[in-house]
Amino acid sequence: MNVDIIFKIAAVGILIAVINQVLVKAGRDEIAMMTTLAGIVVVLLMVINMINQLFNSVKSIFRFY
Amino acid sequence: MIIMYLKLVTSSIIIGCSTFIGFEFAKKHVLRTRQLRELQGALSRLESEILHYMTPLPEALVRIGTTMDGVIGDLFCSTGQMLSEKRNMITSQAWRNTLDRLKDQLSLNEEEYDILYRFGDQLGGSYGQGQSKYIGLTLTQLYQQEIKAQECRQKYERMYKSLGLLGGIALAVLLL
Repeated sequence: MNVDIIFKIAAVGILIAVINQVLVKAGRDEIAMMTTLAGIVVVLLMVINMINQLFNSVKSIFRFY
Repeated sequence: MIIMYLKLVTSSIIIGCSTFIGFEFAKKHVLRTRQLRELQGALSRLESEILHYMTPLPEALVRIGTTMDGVIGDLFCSTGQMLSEKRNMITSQAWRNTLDRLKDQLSLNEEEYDILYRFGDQLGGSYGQGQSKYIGLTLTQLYQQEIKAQECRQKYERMYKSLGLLGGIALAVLLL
């Protein structure tokens, strides 16, 4: 099990939070919102394969085929 | 091990480049305030050249342009030269031509170009007193724009700088 994806997600989260703060301070609230959404999408794209694996293993464990 | 170093080098290149881009964006705001201030200085000198020294317009423009460096000096200088070389050219046309040519070097916005175009349209159109009145009007308009530009600069200069750095780090983290 590799843990570096957790660190990667944490780093993206921190960066998005800081960018959000900078943009809000500059009075560009709508772009700040957009960056937050973009961060969520990026992180989701990172983990979507793992979620797929999880679902598959759950299916195979409980024989949902 | 070598892949580790490679990653480190590429990430620092990415971060450096995006920081540079952020600084370039911030520079635009700095240049805008500086050019507005230079324009005001040049215009008030033009006013005194017209009113007190009674210099002919091409000569006055060249004289002001040569003493100022940067793109504003270029604007005045080449307008004056164009006027003295082509005798049949109207002043407003020369001003407009030079302004159009230098547009990509100036970092002003539409409103300020509009003020400058209108200033050029009446340049050389009347006698000393009228000229001075119009120059005064342009000066107040430019001053108001400078205040606005100053506000913009305070707001966005910092933002662009930090956004460049942070965006670079984000990109590097994503690609790592």
